Amino acid sequence: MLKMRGIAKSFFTNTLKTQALQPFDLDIEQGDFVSIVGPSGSGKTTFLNIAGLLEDYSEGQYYLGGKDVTGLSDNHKSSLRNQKIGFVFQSFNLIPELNLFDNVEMPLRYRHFSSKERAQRVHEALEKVGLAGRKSHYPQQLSGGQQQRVAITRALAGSPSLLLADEPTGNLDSKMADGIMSLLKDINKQGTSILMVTHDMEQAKQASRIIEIRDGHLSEHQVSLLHRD
Amino acid sequence: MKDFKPILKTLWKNKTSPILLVIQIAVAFTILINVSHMAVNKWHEIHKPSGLDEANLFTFTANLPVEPERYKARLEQDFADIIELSSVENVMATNSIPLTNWGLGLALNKTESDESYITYAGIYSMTADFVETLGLEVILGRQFDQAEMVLSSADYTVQSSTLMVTKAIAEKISPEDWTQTVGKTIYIHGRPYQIIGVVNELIATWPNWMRNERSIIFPAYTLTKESKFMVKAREGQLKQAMDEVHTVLMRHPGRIIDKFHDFTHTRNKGYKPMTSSLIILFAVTIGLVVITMLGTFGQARFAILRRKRQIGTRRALGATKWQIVRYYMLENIVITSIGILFGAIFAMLLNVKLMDFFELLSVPSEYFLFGAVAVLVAGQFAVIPPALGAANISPASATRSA
Amino acid sequence: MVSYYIKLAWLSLRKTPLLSFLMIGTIAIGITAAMITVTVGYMMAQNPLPHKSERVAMVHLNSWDPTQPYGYRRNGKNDIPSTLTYQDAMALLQADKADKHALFTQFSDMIRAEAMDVRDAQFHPVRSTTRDFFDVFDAPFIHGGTWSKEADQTGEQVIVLSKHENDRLFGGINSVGQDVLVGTLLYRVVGVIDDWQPTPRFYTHRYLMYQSTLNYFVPLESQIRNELFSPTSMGWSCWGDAPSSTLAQVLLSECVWLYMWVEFDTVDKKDDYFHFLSDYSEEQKQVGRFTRPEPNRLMSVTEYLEKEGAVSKENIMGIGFALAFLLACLCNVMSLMMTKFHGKGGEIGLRRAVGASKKDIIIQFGFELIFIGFVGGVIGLLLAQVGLSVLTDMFSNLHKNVMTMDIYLMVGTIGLAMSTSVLFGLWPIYRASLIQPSSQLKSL
Repeated sequence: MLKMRGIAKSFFTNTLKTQALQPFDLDIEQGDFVSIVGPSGSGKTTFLNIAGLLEDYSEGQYYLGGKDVTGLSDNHKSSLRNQKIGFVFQSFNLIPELNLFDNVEMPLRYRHFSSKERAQRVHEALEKVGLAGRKSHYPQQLSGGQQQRVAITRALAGSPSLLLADEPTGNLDSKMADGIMSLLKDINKQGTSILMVTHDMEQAKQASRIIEIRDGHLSEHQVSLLHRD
Repeated sequence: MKDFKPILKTLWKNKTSPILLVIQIAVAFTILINVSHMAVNKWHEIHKPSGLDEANLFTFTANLPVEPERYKARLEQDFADIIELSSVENVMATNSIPLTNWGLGLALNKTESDESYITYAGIYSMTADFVETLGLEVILGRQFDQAEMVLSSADYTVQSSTLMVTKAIAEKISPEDWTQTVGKTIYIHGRPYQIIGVVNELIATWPNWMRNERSIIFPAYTLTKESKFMVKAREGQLKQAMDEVHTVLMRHPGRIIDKFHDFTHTRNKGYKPMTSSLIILFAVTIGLVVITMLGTFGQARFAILRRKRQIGTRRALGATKWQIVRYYMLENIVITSIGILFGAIFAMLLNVKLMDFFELLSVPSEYFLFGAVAVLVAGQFAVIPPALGAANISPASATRSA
Repeated sequence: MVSYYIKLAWLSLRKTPLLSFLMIGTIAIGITAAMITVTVGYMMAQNPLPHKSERVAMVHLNSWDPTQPYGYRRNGKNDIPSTLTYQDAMALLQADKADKHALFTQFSDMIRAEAMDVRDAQFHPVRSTTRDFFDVFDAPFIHGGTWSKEADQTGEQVIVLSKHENDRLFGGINSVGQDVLVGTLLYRVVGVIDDWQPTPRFYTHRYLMYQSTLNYFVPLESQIRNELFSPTSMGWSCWGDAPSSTLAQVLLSECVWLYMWVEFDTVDKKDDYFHFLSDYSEEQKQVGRFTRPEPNRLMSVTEYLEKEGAVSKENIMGIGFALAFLLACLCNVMSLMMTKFHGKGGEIGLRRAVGASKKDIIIQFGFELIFIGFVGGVIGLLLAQVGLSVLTDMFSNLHKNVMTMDIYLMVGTIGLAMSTSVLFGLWPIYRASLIQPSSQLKSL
């Protein structure tokens, strides 16, 4: 469902050309759970942003759901993000002045669903994570783990086929982190592909594939091999 | 001064908000200069001395409830009745009461021809004792003598051949030496009049006439059905005098008295529109300064918000709090000065336009100077709170993500 | 979606109360200043007789002193009197060349209803005029009507009251047929006019244009026959040696003191009338009058208002300054908006990430600006009302009509606030829409 051919990213600062990502090929199938690991500043987030159509790439072709997205208009990319991709961030990125319902509903707003359908979808999504009863609460009334659940719910409300998670457990203690990981695995089992940046190797190993990025180079590791170590 | 270059660079990099502030300061400065000049002029107009003993004067209009042929006798009897009162010092009648906006103005000429125009003057025609009643000060020449003072039904401009002028008129007639005025002849409607005396000050009837210090007095009074009276009460007996005069006059059947006021009231009423304008000009000035200060405050805060990390870094690298504060104060001086520069150019252009349009005096240069200082000081006051805020940014914030 | 955006705007304003307060307050203050001055200027510039302002005209004859001009106009040229001598006014009236004639002056006297106590009499100015006055100037009657032609000719003692004075003298009843005492003379009421205040009150001198209309109207001829004369309060100018201390003398003199307006059924009759005036001047020249060179004038309502400067220069300047002040305020608001949207980078990034297009972001913040402009406009409107009522007290010499907003001005106030807010918000919004979502998502 995601096919990258010769994707590379470079940018110029003053006269210096910096190669953020070296050219790489990558295929991700429906239902894959891919961990992305690597040291800070190696290009993990840049890769994730490219995959999420948030950032342009300098070279190569990117097929999302079989369709080439290279050179699509900003509007078109917005609507692709809205329909196909869900985002989860390290710092949750919930809007503090909106309650849980409004936060989760946000992507649906941009898809022009009827208010009835929006309400139904939000309700179902919140029910899955056990927060349906707190619809009218505000983010700051929840624990970090609960906030991240809400953020995941928001990402899933529009039924995307790809979920991008940038260190989703980075701000959580290990107990909460475990909860989030099992939630992600459940989601993955129901068919949503997941790309997750992390630097916790234990978490990375729970994925079906591991990609390491080091100084802009992508390389894939066999999970089974890592298990043997 | 070593901060100067980085300040300019930083401002140039994020132009929008400094440019907005520059526009605000330029507009504010332009208006400030013009408005404060107008306000000062108005202030002087309002506080121009009238030449009258205002505290003890009151005025009113009363009819002479008799046939025209008995007007003179009635008026003289009214004078006699009023002056007999112990609370009254003096009484007179006049064609027009100062600062009431109703009276006559005429053009004075040097010769019979109206080509030799000197000035326009407020015209008074008054009865005997006007010098004592009004508290005028005769500074040159003499007063009218009894023979010159006439009461008749003919118009006063045709009855007299002498007149008195105010010092302001004398200065217009003989600009080189006003003391030479006495004895000179001036012409009104082609008719000659000799100047026999000069009074220091006597304000004309129109408060909003810029040249209302220019008045002349005829010694003849035209009798009509109505007379305007001015009465001087004895020191401290104004209230009593007003009551007694009213009672005495109302003894005559058919008497009507109108506009019965002490002179303080007359002055306040006459100048009310101008006082109101002055208050508005003051309010506008204050409003402008406040808005500009708010703008400065907002701009500085915004700039600091953006550069929080940079400031933290500078602090971490050893900049003192004072150096941070100084940086923002200096930055404000730069922005404000640019604003003042543009504002000064606008103000000059606007003033040229305004002079064409409104025949206003051009704004003297000291207003630009004082205006600039005022705007700079206001800017510094407005920038200090956010600058202190900046100085208090913890050096640790440099290491946190922005 | 509209209600959603309004809700977001409201939440966003609540989130940064200080910033919102400053933005709304600054707009409100700028709008207040602008609208107060605009209101006064706009009301002063009203056309008081819109349906016939070109068919109603004022007669100015150059009967003045051969030795010097009557005065000077603003452009430095010689002026001629805007009032007429009695003999000229009567000659024009008798020639009857226009369709309607309103000739008038004023005097003052003690006035009461006949049945009232002497001590309840009040001193009032009285408009003495001809019967067409009410028709020419559109004064509406609630009882009765104007007096007859004969009353004009014979100086019948009849009077028209304003509603205000009818209330005082007769408790508001239909007083037609009742008697009023003007000084010692009995006047019979023939009509009562409703509250009536043309703004500007164009038919008199410019210093009097924003004052209240008079409350009593009597035939001019009755003033003359009864020698009612207020030399110390009416407006008049004299030249020459003739005595002018009694009304009888004034009638014979060259003093100018009567205002004359005429109305025509069609605009083209105006030219004929002007020719008639020129012919009249020529006739007078034969007998040694009208020797000055400046021509007569026949000025329509709009021409006269223009000449007299109905909107004072100070006022135009005030509007200019207030609009500049508004500009300064809007620059300030624009700066605050930049701050505001800068602080919303995270939200913008997030919304963009979950699928909002640039347009969605622009619409969202556009609503916020409209909201700010609306609230600022409403507050500005209220403050302007307060300001105008303060002005009404401060300038008690002007009629309050001049300092009252009509519905157009009220709607205009809010419209101005909203449109300028949006206009000055375009740049900050555009800048906000350019924010790269990827750069903002690490922190919110």
